Parts: sequence; structure tokens; C-alpha cells
Amino acid sequence: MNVATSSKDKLGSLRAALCDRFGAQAVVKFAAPLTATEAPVFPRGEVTELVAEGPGSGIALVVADLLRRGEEVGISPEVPLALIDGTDSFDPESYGAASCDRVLWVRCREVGETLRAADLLLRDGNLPLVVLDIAGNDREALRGVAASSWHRLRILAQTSGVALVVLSSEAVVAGARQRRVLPDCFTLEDLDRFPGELHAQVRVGERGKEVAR
Amino acid sequence: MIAALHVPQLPLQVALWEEPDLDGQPCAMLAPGSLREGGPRVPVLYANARAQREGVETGMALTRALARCRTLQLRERVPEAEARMRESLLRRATHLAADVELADEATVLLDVFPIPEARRDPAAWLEALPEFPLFWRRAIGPTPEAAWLAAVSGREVVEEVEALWDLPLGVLATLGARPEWRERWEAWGLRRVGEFARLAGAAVRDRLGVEASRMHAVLNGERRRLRLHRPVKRLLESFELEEPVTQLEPLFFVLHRLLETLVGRLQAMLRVARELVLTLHFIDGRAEESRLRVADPSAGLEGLMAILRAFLEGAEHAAPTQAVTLEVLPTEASQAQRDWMRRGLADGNRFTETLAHLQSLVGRERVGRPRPARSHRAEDFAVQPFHSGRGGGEVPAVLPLPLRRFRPPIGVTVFSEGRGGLSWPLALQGGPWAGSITARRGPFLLSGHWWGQEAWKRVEWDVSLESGALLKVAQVGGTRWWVEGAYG
Repeated sequence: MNVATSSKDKLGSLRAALCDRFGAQAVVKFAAPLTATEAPVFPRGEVTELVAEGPGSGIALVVADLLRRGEEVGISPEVPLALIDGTDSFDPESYGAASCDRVLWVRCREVGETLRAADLLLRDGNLPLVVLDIAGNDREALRGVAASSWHRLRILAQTSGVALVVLSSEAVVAGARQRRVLPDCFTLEDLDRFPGELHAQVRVGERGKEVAR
Repeated sequence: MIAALHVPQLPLQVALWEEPDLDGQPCAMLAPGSLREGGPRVPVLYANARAQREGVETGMALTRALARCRTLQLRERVPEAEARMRESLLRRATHLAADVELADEATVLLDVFPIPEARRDPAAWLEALPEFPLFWRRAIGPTPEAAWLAAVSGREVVEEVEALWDLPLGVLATLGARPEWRERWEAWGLRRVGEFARLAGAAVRDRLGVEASRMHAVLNGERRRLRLHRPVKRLLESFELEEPVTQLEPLFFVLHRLLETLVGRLQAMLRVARELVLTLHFIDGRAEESRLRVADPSAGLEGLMAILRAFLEGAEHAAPTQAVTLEVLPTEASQAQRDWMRRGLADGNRFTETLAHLQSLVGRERVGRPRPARSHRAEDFAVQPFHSGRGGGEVPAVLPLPLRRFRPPIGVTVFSEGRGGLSWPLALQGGPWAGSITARRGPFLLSGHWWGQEAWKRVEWDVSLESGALLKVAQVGGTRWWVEGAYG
């Protein structure tokens, strides 16, 4: 009995140590990544992974929302954000000039380049938010990335106090502090709305409720 | 006693001077890059007399100008040619007088009081000035601003500032009058310079501010000294290597020596470096120039050397280096660019190094700030260097859900039916999105650059597939279909 209790304690302390070392992970299946109730949504020094379940999950809308209202998520609107674009998919016309002014756009071609670019920007530490968009990258190549590479990025983010947000099409980031799953919920009718209308909807979390039902 | 040399519409005159064939034709000048980027809505910056006779005016939209004058010749500003002509004007002025001020991009002021001929007979002295390649106006006045206004308004010799009081108030834009002042003047019923000059100085200061008060004082004859133009000496050093080098260490050694010399001169001038221009001369005769911005301008040797190191460590060169040239572009320490600090970057120079590393990782043209163009042409955007000025917010987002582009677009086979002379897509055949189209938006018939040789035309559709994918597909040339990207 004593042995069992002691093993439990050891296991508990080991878990606590592992949590401290690699961070406890919260998995949220919710399509409202920028809710006003959680501030800052992307904590400094941590890695957050947003997983797009399908092609219409609004992952690009997350980037647009960050560029529009960085102030509300704890980032000065004067400070540029880094977007490491894994497949060169950012479309400047979709975002408008004012948003584009805030982006340091790094146009990569393959996974290795994106990881090295992330390493450089996290090491630099000047930009408080680095968005790593690998949602369009080859899934096999992403699965081949060693877990140690993600841990390395996590430790760099922790050291420099930069918030690293990874946009992916399946959960690949080992040691992510938070993982949010964005369901496939936008339709063609949404394209008939006014620019900015969907941002408000994302903020109040209507779609989150829809998805959570 | 100040003389002013003013070249009206200098950019347009320079263009016409460089292309004598345009003589006698209606010409208009646009901003650099307007013909490619801006399309028909760009404003006309300058119009020559012939174009003005046809109804073309400054500030008019290009389409309107073309509608008024079908034969209008369009030219873009060439800043380099304008700078050369400005230098020529400055040289002319420095041959005439010792104290010279560059008042604006087309006006030079010079102190002619020490010249006896100018004092004795100002009009004759102006008349006797040697010819200038462009049409220019020359004037003499008691103060810098009086001479300047006289030259701009076509007068020659002005004894007193009051002689200019009959000019319309609009001429004060030359001296930096703000548009909001002009609105107030109109509201007060003021039309002429003299009407403004006669107002009480304290009242002007209270209602329009200190700058307007200063202008008011100038119009009442207050004198100031010329802000003397001193050409900055180039801080440039070169070194030819005895043996061509392929390794970085010998190159770093040479660059360190060159930079040490340049930094010494920079510090002696009480200046800081804002940009490094590094030119590598290769053994095969080619040369490559790179401009490296110093984010937090400084005169620190090691900091500047770190920028050069970061750049060269990531650069790839096809041939061994035979010689290097390094130029430091200086700026005044007090006026050093603090934009980076304003944006909250803790270590601007380190960020410059990181940018250099990123550029060497993915390519120089693949790192920067995107700038969408004011057109509907697909992929009509530029990537500006990150340290360049902000583009401004004049291009709004057009769609509520951003597009994730496929670069290059992916060719697909589309099953379609003809309706109203257009092909309506029904299903995508083959490829990752094979399946029926469940809903569509369109057709969006787009075309542009009809006024030039780069005319384009396409039909776009937004489609929803059974799989839930929201795609943008485009038909180009009537037959080929492309998937341009996915929404969301």
C-alpha cells in the first residue's frame, strides 16, 4: 500500500515536472480563437497551435483578425507581426493595405525553410508575435519533423517571450501549450458579407457555440 | 539681398528635355510606377502648356485627362534625372555666390549682396546670367521668402516685401502654407497676401498657430539667414585584393579595415551611418551592389560590421571576389531614424541582422512588407523592403474571408455548360478537388490595362464543392481553367 502510494506520488511529481518542462497542453475544439474574454489569447513565450479541420475553417481569417486588432490581444498596433508563410499562400489583396503594413512576410517554399525562419525570428525576439503558417504544407513532410525541433522552438519562444502561433492542417506541434481546433464552418454565402463582418462574428464566438453543440 | 532661381515644373521639363521629340506635343507627368501599378485613377502631377490648352489640369484623374486629350503623352517622373538637374542648378548657383540654400526641389536661393553688379543694377544682373538648359525664372528680393515668391510668381526685382501683397493667397503654398489655413482664410474672406499680412500678429498666432505666425512675420519683412547648402562628401573606400578570394574571413578582414577608416571619418563629421552600400567586384568582371539599412543609425564599428557579416554569411556568389567597395551613407545623429524604436522594437540593429539572415534563407525578394496594388489584376502586388516607408491604408480589403493563394495557380479540367456566351462551371474533373460544384458566385468578368500593351481579361468564379472546399477558379483565354486559391 505504501509502495503504491509512493509510486503515485512519484508519478504525480514526474507529471508535474514534465508539465513544467514541456508545458501542459489544453485542447479546445472551438472556432473562436480570438474571444475577448481570454486576454491575451496567444500568451507571450508560449506556442499555440490552431488546427484547421477542413478547407473552409477560417484559418486565414485568424491572420486577418490579428492584423486588424492586435491591440485587443495585447500587441501594440504599431508593432509589426511576422508571418512565416509555409507555402507562399498569403494574398495581400484579401487583407488590404493597412493590414499589410503590419506584416513582415517571409515567403517560404518548404517545411525546412519555415522552421529555420521561425528559429531566426524567435531567437531575435524583436517581434512579439510570430505566426507560422504550415496549413498548406505537405503533411508527410510535417509528420517527419522531429519532436525535438518543436521543443527547440518552444524553448526559444519561452526565452525571448515571443508568442508563436502555428497554423496547421493536423496536430503536429509537440509541446504546444494550447491547441485549438477550427472546424470547417464557412460557406459560400459568407463571401457575400461585408469585409470585417466575419471578424465580429468570430469575436463574439457565435460560430464557437454552433460548433460546440 | 537674395536672388532666387526657380525652375517651374522641373520634373516635366526634365522629361521633355530628355526627349526632344515631345516638343510641341501635349504631355502629362505621373508618379513613378503609376502606369504599371495605378491604372486609370492616378492623378496627373504636371501638364505642359499644350496639354493645359486641351483641358488637362494638375490633379486630374488620368482617365479624365485622356478623355479630354486623346493624344496626351504620358511620362512618369524620373527622380534620378531630376536630381541631376537639381545638382546642375545648385552648381550654377554656387558659381555665382558663396552662400546658397536649396529652398525646395526646384528653387535655389543665393545671397547676392556681396556682388557689386547685383547691388548696382539687379535687373541687368539677372538678365546677364548665363543660360540654363531648362526654362527658369530669376528674381531678386530683400528677403529669402520675398525672392522666392517673386520667382514663383514671375516677377523679377522686388524692392520691398509689400510689393508682393497683391498676389493671391494660394501662392503661399510655396512657403508651406497648410490646406487648413487656406480654408480658414477663405472663411475669413481673405483673398490676397496683403490681407493676411495686415492681420495682427498675435491674433494669427492664437488662431492658426506658431508656424502661421512665422509666415505672417516673413510677409511683413522679417529677415532670416539662409540655410546653407553644403554638399556631403562621399564616405567611400575601395580595396583591390591581390588574389581573388572565395572565403569569407579574408573578406571580413578587408571590410573591417575599410569600415574602420570610414567610421573614423563619420565620427569626425559628428554623423552616424544610416545605410551601408557594399559592392563586390567579381573576377569575371561583374559587380553586385547591396544596400544594407542600419535600423538604429550609429557610428559604432562593431555594430556596423555585424550587419555586413550577417549579410555576407547568407549571400551566395558565383565567382571569386576581386575587389570591394564600401560606402557609408551618413545622417545627422539628432535626425536619425527612430521609426524602429517607435514601433517598440527593442534592438533594431539585431533585427536588421535577422532580416539579412532571412533574406539569405529564402531570397531577398521573398522577405518584406506586401503592398497590394489599386487594381483588380490577380497577383498585382509588390513586396517592399521591410524598412521602407509604410504604404498607407488606401487599398481596403475586398472580401470578408481571405483567400489562400496557390502559387502558381493549379490547372484543372472543368466540366461546364454554356450560358449567355459564358462557360458556367459544373464540376472539377481530376486533381485533389474532383467533384461536383454545389454552389457558385459569379461570373466576375475582369479586365484591365486596356490603355496599354499589357491588356488582360479573365472570368472568375467562387465555387463551393461537395467536400466543403471554397475555391476561386478562373477562366483565362476562354479555354483554360485554373484554381487560384481556397477561401478561409
